[in-house]
Parts: sequence; structure tokens; C-alpha cells
Amino acid sequence: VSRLRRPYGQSPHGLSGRRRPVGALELVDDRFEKLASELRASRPVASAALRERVASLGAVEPAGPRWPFRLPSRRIVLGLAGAALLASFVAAGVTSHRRSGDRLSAQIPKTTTVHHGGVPSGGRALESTPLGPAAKAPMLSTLAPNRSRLQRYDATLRLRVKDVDALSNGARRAMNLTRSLGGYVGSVDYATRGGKRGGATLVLRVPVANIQTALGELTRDDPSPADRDSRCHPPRGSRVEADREARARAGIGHA
Amino acid sequence: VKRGDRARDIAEAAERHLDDVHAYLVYLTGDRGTAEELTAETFARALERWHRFDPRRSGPRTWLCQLARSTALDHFRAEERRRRREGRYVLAEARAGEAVFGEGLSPTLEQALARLSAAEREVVALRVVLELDGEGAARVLGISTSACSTRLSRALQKLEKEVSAGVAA
Repeated sequence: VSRLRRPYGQSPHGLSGRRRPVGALELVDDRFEKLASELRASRPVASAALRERVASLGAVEPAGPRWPFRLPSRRIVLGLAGAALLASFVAAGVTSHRRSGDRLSAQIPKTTTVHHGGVPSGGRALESTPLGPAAKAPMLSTLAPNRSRLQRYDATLRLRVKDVDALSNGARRAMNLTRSLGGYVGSVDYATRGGKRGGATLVLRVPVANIQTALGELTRDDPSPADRDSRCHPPRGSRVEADREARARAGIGHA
Repeated sequence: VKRGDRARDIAEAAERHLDDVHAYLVYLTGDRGTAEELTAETFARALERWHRFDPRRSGPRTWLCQLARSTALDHFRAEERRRRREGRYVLAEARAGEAVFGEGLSPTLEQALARLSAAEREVVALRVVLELDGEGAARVLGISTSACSTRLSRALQKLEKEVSAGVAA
């Protein structure tokens, strides 16, 4: 077997080879070798007393870690802390929601009528309002605006449109609709990937009197091809809280 | 790991690396008495923390040197309230003419070592006396390998310059 000779100047480990450990004094000039050998030859040695002292330490049975379990890494601790914080928020939200529900249920007349498309919460029917021709589907929440108390409607709407152009048009139309109804756009999160896929999340705030109109208009079928295959998922529920404004959150995704 | 195995491991590590840890601490502190105290403290800590030792990350000698360094730095911090310069306070207390850094060292080299800073002496101890490789020494010192090499080169240059000046005088 013939051995290939390494060209002059080329690393024996190759260009992408792993770096080998640097030996002692490898990077130091040879003129220090005499100095180094003198230092090594006369290195300090532990005294007998110190040896006995350390040996007596070793003779004692090690106590081991005070806490038998190893502490998790910092990432896990942070994750657990975040989860605990989130859980506390959720618990607080559920508690406050139940309390506000209890308070409000005492205010809602028990003789009111129909709740569209679902079972009234707590066995108490909520008053419905006409939604107009744009919202014929029974998917919309039908909590009626009530001027005698502070209200907040929180609805989530998810639409699927054909392509990015439809996504842009849909988002623009939702914002225009919000403004025309006297509301404003809380936030817009619009992103596309490669010009083919994308998504937009809009937080729209409209006056409580126009919430039903807004939901109806947002789910109305558009004659354009872009919106022809739109789908609307009904909000899972509406909450009545102590707030004057109504908020509609519309998510348009998967162009 | 069972307790008996752990005790045996610690005893073996202490027997094998006691001189290394002691030599490193002598170079770092520049004082034999302090180095002995810190050596004993280092092995006492090692006994408590042996469960943290991970042989995949470094060898026992490197780990013990890291522990010795943190023990010494804790000691220095405690003393720093009294003295500003941690590298020189023990040298001021060292008795003149006493062999600190080795039994057979020439007085010139002994004095030259005493004139180095603690940082320079410890890199000399790790790379030259203990013959740790650059990676291990850098791990102990908490610096990069290239910084470790640079520091060693400067320390040795300074040492040789001091020795040459001492011989000439």
C-alpha cells in the first residue's frame, strides 16, 4: 500500500477535520522549554499533613446532595413558571367569568325568549335580535345590546379564502366595514409566505349596537370568486362583561 | 452511583490529583499556607459536589482545578474587602527567602514567579506545571483557548525576562 505524502503546509487533519487538542506548550516558543522543565521538576508537593487531612475527608461517608432530586435545568424552570402563570391567569379568568355570569344572570329576565343555534347557558334564554339578511345563518351569537348595563361582546370568526389577493381584499374590506360602523381596527397581523399562502388576524372593535351587523357583514358571501368558498365558523360563545365596547376578532387564514 | 462507589471515586481522585490541585493553588495564591487551606477546602467541596461531576464534560483533574479556582476566588473575594489587589496581598505577607513555588527552584526564578500576577501564575501552573492541554486550561480559567495561549506566552516571556534580569544583576 503506497502512502500518500501530505503536501507541504497542508493540515494533517484536512480542511474540515476536527481540531485535535492542543498539547502542553505546543503554542509556546521552544526557548521556554528549559524554564518549563525547571518549573515542572520542582513543582510544589503537598505535605504529609495535608495528605492526611484530605484522606480523613475522604474517609467520611459522603453526605450526598442535600436534596435527593436534581434540580431541573433553567429552561424547564422557566417553562414551568410560564405554565403556572398561564394557569393562574386562566383560573382567574374562569373565576371572574363565573362571578360576572352569576351577577348578570340575576339581572337577565328569565322570561326572555330564544337563543339562536344553541342551548342557553345556565338554562336561561337570552333575547335574540334580528340579524338582517346578511346573517341568516343560525351560527351567530344573538346577545342583544342593552343600554341599561355595560356590555362587552367578544366574538371570534375564522374565514378561509382562496388566495393572497382574496386575503388582502378580505382584510381591507373588514377594516373598511369596521370604520363604516363607527369602530376602529385594534390590530392587524398580516403575513404571507412565498406569495401563495398567508394569514391575517384582525382585532376589530365596533360599537356594541353594531356588533351583530358587523358579524353578519363579515360572514356575508361575497360575489367575487375569491370569497366564494369562504367558510365561517361560528363563535363558540359570547360573553357579556362589564365593558361598553364590543369587540369582534376576525381571523382570516390559509389563503 | 452508590455511596460506596462514590466514596471510592473521591478517594481515588484525591489521591491522584492532590498534588496537582495543591500546586495549582500554590501558584495561584503565592502562599503555601493559604494553598493548603484552600486545597483542603477544595476537596471538602468536591466531596459534597461529587454528584455534579460529569466525566463526559471534563476529566476529574480539570473539574478539581475548576473547583479549586472557585474556592480560591471565594477566598480572594472575602479578603478583597481588606486588600484591593487580590494577586499581591499574599505576596506581601510571604516571608522573604521562603521557597513557595517549589523546593528546588532557583531564588531568581522564585522571585520572578512572585512578581507575576496571579492570573499569569495560574496559567503557568496549569499549562506548564500540570501540563494540562490548552482546552482544559481554558476551561478551568473560563477563557477561550487562544486567550489562554496568549496569556501563557506573555507570562513566560515576562518570567524569562525577570529571570534574565535577575541573573544579570
